[in-house]
Amino acid sequence: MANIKSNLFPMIKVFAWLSLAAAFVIGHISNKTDYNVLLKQAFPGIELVKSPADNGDLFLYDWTTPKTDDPNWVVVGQAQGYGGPLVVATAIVETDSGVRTQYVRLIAHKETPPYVERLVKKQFFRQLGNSSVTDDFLLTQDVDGYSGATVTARAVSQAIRGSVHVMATDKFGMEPTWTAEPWVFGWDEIGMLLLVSITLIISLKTKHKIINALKLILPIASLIFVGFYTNASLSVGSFAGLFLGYLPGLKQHPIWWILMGTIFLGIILMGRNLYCNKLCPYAAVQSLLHSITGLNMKVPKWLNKYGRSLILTMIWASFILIFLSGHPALGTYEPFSMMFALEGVGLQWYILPLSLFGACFIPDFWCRYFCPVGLIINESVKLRRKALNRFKRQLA
Amino acid sequence: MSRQRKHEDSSLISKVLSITTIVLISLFFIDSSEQLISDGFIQRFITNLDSTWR
Repeated sequence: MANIKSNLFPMIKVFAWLSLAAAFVIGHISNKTDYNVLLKQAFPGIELVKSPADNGDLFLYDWTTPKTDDPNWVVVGQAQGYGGPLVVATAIVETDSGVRTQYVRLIAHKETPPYVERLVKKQFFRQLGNSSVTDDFLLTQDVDGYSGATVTARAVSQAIRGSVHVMATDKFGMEPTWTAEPWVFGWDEIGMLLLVSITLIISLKTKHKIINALKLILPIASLIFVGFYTNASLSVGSFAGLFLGYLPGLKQHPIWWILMGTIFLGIILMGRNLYCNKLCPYAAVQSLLHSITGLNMKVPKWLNKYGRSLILTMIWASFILIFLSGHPALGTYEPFSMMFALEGVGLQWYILPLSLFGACFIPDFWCRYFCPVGLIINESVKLRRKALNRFKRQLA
Repeated sequence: MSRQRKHEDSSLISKVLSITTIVLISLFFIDSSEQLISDGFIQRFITNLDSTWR
């Protein structure tokens, strides 16, 4: 029996890695962005022909036989949203008052659906029509943003901005009169830097009154700021997205870079997990619930024994789904969006109350037995330790 | 006796919670897989593979 087990585990490991590699390749082939196909779906019955002005930077299509009120062109732009790249088609019309946008369509995206629905409901896309192609298209400046979907709104604005400005210069030879893309850096980013600094100070392990006080403050601050205020908590999708190259722009989304940078800094330079029980807002929720009830129930033995394998299986399933679909939201089973932004889909709504209910009876119920982020970071720390030890042995 | 009963109840609650969470997460994955297939994933894969070979 023991022999079968010892043979079986390496085989499962090999299968897991091979299937992940296969899913990555299959997904890459399946999810190739073909603007022609996307435009056909977005503008059914309309024949759009690649414009002669179309080049490597400008994706421009002529609207053949335009009738009254029809646009003359459709220009396509792409930018990084929260979940991955999103593609926007902007209908352009040439009028007496100049070259203007007529309307905007989001033709492909990898965002969590409720965030896009929120923008549609708030008529975000409508405000982008009837603007000059030389406008700035900058969120919070000439484009209104909406709290709770800021990253998606910013990515849509950026996709339009990039495409129509290239069209203005390349096709119409206009001089750039628009404002250069500014850095998004305000109180939110300062707040995140402050939280990260507190985390680093606490990690120094110094025994001091102030540090003890900071240890108490940090989870509450993370819950409010990382959770409810910025809704920046990390999920399995954030890590799978890295493999797919879904990196949000540093200028547009510095909060993501500060948070991810801190985690990687912790793993590589310090060999520590700086996220769990420090910056993670959901860990704070779990601790808070447990401290309210004070209950400490035992978990079934099998859960303790196979807990790690269980999370690894869930991470594997998440990564397979994300690699195949190219859509991080499809494999993200954590209920963080529901908890902190009241946005979720399907079964995630049932996972949230259950995990909260579990935390009332079992300390860190979600973190210990179901959280993929914690395991990914902890395994990376272990891997770093192993590599370092091997390196030291080789030197000795 | 009552203390033993309390312990058994605790185990039962944690068992139910653990199993229900695992079942729900599994259902989430099944739901996502169905969504992936209904989204035309297989068709897209075949079409793109075909165009790559050509």
